Amino acid sequence: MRKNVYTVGQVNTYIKNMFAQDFMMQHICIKGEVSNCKYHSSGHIYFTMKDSTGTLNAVMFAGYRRGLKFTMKEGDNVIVTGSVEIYERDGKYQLYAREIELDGAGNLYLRFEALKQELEEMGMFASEYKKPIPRFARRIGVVTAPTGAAVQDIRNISARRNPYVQLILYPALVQGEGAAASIANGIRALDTMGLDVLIVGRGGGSIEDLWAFNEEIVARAIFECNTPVISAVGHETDTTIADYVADMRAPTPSAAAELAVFDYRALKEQLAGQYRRLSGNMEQKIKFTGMRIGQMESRLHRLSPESRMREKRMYAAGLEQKIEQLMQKRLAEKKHEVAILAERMERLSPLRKLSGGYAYVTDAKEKALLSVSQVNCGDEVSIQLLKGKIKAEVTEVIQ
Amino acid sequence: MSSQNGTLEETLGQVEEIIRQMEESEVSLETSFQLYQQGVEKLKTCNMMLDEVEKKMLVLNQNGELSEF
Repeated sequence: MRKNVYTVGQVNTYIKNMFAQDFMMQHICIKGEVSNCKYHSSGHIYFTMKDSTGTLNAVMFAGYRRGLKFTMKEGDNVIVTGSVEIYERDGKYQLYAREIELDGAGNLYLRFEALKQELEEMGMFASEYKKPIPRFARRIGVVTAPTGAAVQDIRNISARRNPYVQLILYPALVQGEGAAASIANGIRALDTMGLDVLIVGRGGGSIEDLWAFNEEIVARAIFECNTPVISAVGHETDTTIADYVADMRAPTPSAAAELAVFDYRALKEQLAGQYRRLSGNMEQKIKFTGMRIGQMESRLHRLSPESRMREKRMYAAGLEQKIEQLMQKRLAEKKHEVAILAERMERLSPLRKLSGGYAYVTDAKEKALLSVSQVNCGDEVSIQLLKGKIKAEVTEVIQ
Repeated sequence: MSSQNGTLEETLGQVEEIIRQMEESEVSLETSFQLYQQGVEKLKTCNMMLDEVEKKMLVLNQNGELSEF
């Protein structure tokens, strides 16, 4: 049987009144670290106060801004004076700040710096203790939470780069109570398995979330681990003690997987490339040697007696041909000379003088007639004209 | 396991060295043949060392036993 049923509003109002009646809640000083600090355009400041155990939502309304004399930012350690009240709309309590002051250096930060200095002085960060990360790891241990992005990122990148690499996960608690011991146990457990490399880490979070990786037992477990360790805590900007002790620091779990898992295809390509270079070299050498043999062969051949004889024969034939050519040339020259002489003679021929109607007269004995005294009537004479000859009889001699 | 890794890395280094030697022009043909044979053998070994069996992620439990994740 339900006797009294209340509305949400009634309950929230009831609780609000409870807080309001509590004198301590109305005027309280709280110290903690600032996170999620947002300056709203309305002038209100929304932020969260936190320490290693928990968080408390807080707001400073614009009307109280004079109670804040510095620019508050993420990570500041502050002492806030104000009241803790119920915000009915959300059914949540929050701190209404009236005054905010800085509280020296942050507690977690001091612890971090102190441990870092102590371990550094012990030589735990020294480079001579850093073990090299094997280039071709086959079995890789992973200490991280079994849930969350980190383990999936590592698994995906590993499968993409090299599906033949064996990953072995130690499911560890990575934040909260017992996280540091769990991580340290994981490192020790995987170290006994003779793996090639370990990845120790987790995804991003607040400084509190990552705190286990700043604990001394984790640092010692990494330092004492015989297997090379890659740390991979949070994001690029987060640096923990574990990162200083590890043999290699990866900025993120994904990056750790890239560093630990060798790229199978790249190696295969490298091997194929080397094979090509080897074969190419061999081929070239064989070709070169073949060429040298060929050169030697032709040199030797050129020096053989048969080849020398042939050379001489060819030389002789060449000479013969040359002589013949010279002879031909001479003959042609002579012919030409004769032709020229013939032409000259032709030009001097007496027949030429007969042109213009003159004639050359001889007696029957072909003797030139120069005077009428050389003939008598009835003698036969020859008259040579330019064209042709006439035989004639002397009919009259005129003195 | 780690000794085998060493071998893979070492073997790769040896192949590099063999190639470097072959690239020297003074090396005789006989030596070249020997180097080539050695190089090919070593590359074969490298390929054999890559155990090409796909692996599932394993998870180590509190009793030190392994199971598929």
